Amino acid sequence: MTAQTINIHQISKFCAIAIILHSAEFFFPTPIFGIKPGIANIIILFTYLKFNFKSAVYVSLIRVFISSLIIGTFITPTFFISLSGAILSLIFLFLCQFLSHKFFSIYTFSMLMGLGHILGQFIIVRMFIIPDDGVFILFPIFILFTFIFSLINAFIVSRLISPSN
Amino acid sequence: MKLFGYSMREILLLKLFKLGDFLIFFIFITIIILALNYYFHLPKGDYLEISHGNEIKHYSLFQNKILIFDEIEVEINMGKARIKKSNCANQYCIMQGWISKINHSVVCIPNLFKISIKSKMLSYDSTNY
Repeated sequence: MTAQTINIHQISKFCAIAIILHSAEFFFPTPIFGIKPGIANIIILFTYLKFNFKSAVYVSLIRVFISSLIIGTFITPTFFISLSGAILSLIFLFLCQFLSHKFFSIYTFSMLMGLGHILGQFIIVRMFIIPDDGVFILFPIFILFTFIFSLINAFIVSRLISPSN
Repeated sequence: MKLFGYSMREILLLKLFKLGDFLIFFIFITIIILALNYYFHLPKGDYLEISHGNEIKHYSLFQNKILIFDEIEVEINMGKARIKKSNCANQYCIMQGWISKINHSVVCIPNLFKISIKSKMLSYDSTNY
């Protein structure tokens, strides 16, 4: 096998895991509607750290498309919210590359990705789905849970990268 | 106490976090505090906007008044407003209670009825361009 086929094989493996996590999360009960832990982001961050930014883009976008087909939300508002969140979080991840790895660890990456995700979702919702300033009432709650869940996700990634303590 | 093989001391003392992470923490927590502060101290509105069918009407909030539309009664009481009576089946619009903060609204979907509180300062409302 060439290096490229190994890479495609690995990316598809991570895609499969991300799709499973994303789909499972959709059916996961949440106390407040719309608040989800975003466990698929663990895999995206892991892919970025293990390979490169390009593979993370592949995994993220394939995950959004395929899992929406599985759940049955393809080309519905849910799908576009998910897609815009994923795209903006990838943009934030791209910008994170320029941060010094000496001072910034995956916790920063995870938090900024979470922030990008929530901002992307809010932009789409405010522009097309609920065109009213009232949606920003939800912003404080969402940003609080983004902070908590992105810390937990980053901790899980750090455990995955170095499982032997 | 050990958490996933790390002691609490290691977690707290830069074993996992790097210096820049604390900067991001600080920025994030500042955003959260500002957002929560805004959330709990929303500005009060100036007038009440009632959309009924295709009509949109404006009423001052600083009065005591009961407005009667076809099936719905709206009560305004010095800065706050509510739907007092409605003929809809579930009565969700009445259960919403009083609203007084800017951009809050109550809708009654069966009657295509909406009341919302607006401000004269529409600086960040992009629909007013």
